[in-house]
Amino acid sequence: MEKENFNDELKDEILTDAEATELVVPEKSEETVAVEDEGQSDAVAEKIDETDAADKEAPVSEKKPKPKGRVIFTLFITFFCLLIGFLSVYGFVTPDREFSENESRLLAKMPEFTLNGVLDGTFMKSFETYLTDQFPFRDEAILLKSIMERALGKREENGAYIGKDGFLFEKQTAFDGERMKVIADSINRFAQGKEALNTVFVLVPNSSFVYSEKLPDYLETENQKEQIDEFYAMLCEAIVKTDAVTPLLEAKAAHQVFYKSDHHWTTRGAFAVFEKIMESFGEEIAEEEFEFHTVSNDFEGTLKSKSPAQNTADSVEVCFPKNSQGTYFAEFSGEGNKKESLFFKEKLREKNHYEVFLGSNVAKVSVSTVLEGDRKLLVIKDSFANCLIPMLTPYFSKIVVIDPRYMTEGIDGIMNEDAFTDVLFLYNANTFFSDSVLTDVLGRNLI
Amino acid sequence: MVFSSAAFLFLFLPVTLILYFIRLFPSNQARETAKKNFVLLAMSLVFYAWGEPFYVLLMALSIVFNYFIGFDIEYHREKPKKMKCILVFGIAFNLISLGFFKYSGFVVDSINSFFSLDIQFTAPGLPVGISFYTFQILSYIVDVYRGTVAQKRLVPFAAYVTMFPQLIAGPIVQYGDIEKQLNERYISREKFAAGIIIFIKGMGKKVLFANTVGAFYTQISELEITSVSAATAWIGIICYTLQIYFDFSGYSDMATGLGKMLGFDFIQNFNFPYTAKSITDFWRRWHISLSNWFRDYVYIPLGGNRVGAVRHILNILVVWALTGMWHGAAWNFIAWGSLYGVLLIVEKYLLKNILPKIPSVFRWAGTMVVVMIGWVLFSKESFSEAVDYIKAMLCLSGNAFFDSSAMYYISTAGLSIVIMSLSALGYFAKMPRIKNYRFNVITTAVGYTLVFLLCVIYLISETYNPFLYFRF
Repeated sequence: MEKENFNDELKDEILTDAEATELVVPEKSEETVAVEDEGQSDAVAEKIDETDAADKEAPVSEKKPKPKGRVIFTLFITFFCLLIGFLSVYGFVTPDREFSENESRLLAKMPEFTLNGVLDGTFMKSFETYLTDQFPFRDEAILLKSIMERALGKREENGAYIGKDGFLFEKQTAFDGERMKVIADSINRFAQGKEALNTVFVLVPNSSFVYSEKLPDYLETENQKEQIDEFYAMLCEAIVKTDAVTPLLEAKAAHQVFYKSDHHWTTRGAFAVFEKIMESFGEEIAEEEFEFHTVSNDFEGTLKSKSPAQNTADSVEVCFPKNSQGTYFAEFSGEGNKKESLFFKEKLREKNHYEVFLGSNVAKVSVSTVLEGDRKLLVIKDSFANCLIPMLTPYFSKIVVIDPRYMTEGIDGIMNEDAFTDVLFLYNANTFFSDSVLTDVLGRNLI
Repeated sequence: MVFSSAAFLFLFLPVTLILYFIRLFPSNQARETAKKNFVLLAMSLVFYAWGEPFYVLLMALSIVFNYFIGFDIEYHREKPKKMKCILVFGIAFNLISLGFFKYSGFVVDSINSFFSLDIQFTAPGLPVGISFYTFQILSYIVDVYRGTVAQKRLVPFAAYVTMFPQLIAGPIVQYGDIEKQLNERYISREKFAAGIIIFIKGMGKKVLFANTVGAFYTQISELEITSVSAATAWIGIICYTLQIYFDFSGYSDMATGLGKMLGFDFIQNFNFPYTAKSITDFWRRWHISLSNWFRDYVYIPLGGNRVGAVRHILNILVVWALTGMWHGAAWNFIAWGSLYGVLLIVEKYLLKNILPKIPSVFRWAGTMVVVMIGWVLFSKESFSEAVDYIKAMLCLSGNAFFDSSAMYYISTAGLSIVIMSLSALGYFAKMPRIKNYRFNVITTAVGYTLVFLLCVIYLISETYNPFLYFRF
């Protein structure tokens, strides 16, 4: 068949241009027309190879000897070439973007052309990444894809679940008992060395557990309460385990305790757990001693970046003790930044409004308060703690906040600097279950 | 470089087409074709070197070597013994090269585990497309020996081996099929337009269908297999079944489309394989160019079916064990191929008279179940993983038949699976069409432009983009 077809074509080619057109157009275009829809897949090839060429040729060319199709083909080819040409050229003439806010990352730049890079293939790889990263209309394309996939019923996107009532959820991290035992042991060793130290441990569940009724239908997730209890059971007696699950589930009736578009808890959620934490430190707190202020109504968090089609925005509240103005000053590691506040109002003008609390994550924040006394607190935490730190200022003369993920050295230096009386571990379950640095940071203390 | 990437679509393809279609010798058709072949060869080498900057030398070496082998065979046409020696030498060289790069790691591992040895050996990286181009080269030198083809010039031969549309994932074009086209080919607007359409269709299959359904399969295969319900396991393998078809046939379509744009007609590689009503039928519809190759260069030389029953059965088993091995260097691929060999023998000898009496819907269903179980073997890294998965499908791992996770996948992937299944079974192709020529051409053009734009949207927002068949 294949050869017959080919011979026919050769024959046609020998004819004059006009004749060839008359003979070939109807036959060939009939095949093209057959390709109308997705999934016609093999129909085209099938027809080209078999049926049309042999069977239909004669009658078809008699029936439709008109070259009218030719204009359409020329138009189609021209249009297609222009489209490809436009996208190629447009991509090269528009200036490169440096940063993608949605993805919170630097976009790839034109890689440097080196002989070694070409020989080992790294140049080609980076060049392809560069083209894709800098492609015109990239953000719009990502949004359109998100809309399409959702329309087809997909409920998972880039690691986020698309829930009900505008809720997005972070995928849960698996609980690996053996790994968690190693982490628990390192925390136990840390606490057992210092009996005088008052150590409180809080593991916060994630929104996928607290708002499980908002998850997509039929989606089954792990029971984080059981996982948290299992981990608490691995910690030694000396450590006070604070339950964050119950206060969050209770507070949920009155307030939204997690953001819909972000993986963090809201300030209200943090406050509910804050009361329990202070109980563990032996302090009674009264809600009326704290102020809540809404600082943003258009927060689009990290989960919204993962699922751009989601039409959700959150309000951000800040909470601080009444009359706390000027009662402390904070020192941030990295830039050596000193401030009389733990809030970064300027971050509200940027994309991630959660950074209004303590700014971007840094390794260490030291807060010195006007409070007399020797109660000094060390907080070992992830970003969930950021909105809760301001609430702690009335109770301690000094608070040192460390984020092991950003630390370059062990904890011993920090322990020696101040005579701490209290230690607070505050993590959310997803981050904690995948933690890979805490053991290291705590462990170096022992050597 | 893969076809469905920004670098190919918006850089390589435009440059290649411009160079290819610029007329240098408007009055001399033969020189014009020679120039086109040269551009095709040069750009194909760039295409290959883009992904394999080192192994391109291996391919070039192999081409030059085999060109001279072909030359030498032709030269000794009058001395059959000498000619045969050269052929055997040529085949041995190609198979050793393929064996070293593709199978040495597997062989050493197998020897180590079988004899409890500990031979240290670092397998070389697998050059992309080596299985495809080695087979094309083999077909060439065998056909030269048989006297059916001969190529005196290096550039057209090299262009045949390296031709970028089919270089990396087929179809396996036999030299005889495109010999004439290499010297003189027919290019027209209609063919070019048809090429664009077929290319877009293939890209749609790959980017819109295969990748989407592949993501579901990946999710399911990441679950703990012992707790997966039978229904979820079936949904998973249905997803994989669709993924591998759309991935591979999409790639073949893209190759066919690009070939047409350049003036070549490749053989049809897929013909709605999932409508097959027996295993024999399935392999007449799946990866046709590979089946043809094994038929022409292994099965028939071994005697085909014109030998005694025992020898015939042996022939089939050899061919199918080799087919399995061709797909990958691991025991589960050999098991996968041999399973098909056994099934074909069963169909030919035991079920010959029974099959036609079974209603075709049951024959189809039975075939599909066998094919899907075959894909389990194919998709898993190891034999034991595959067995665990099949146990889950058959409710033998103490798992539930149906659970809420199956419901979740039905609710989120169900619509995609239904649309794609209808497409794979050819329902859209069979839909009645309005018999208006101009209307059909315009809707086709508009429809496929939209599909193209959708593909571009998916491409630039997706980093998940490896071709499944790159392993081979």
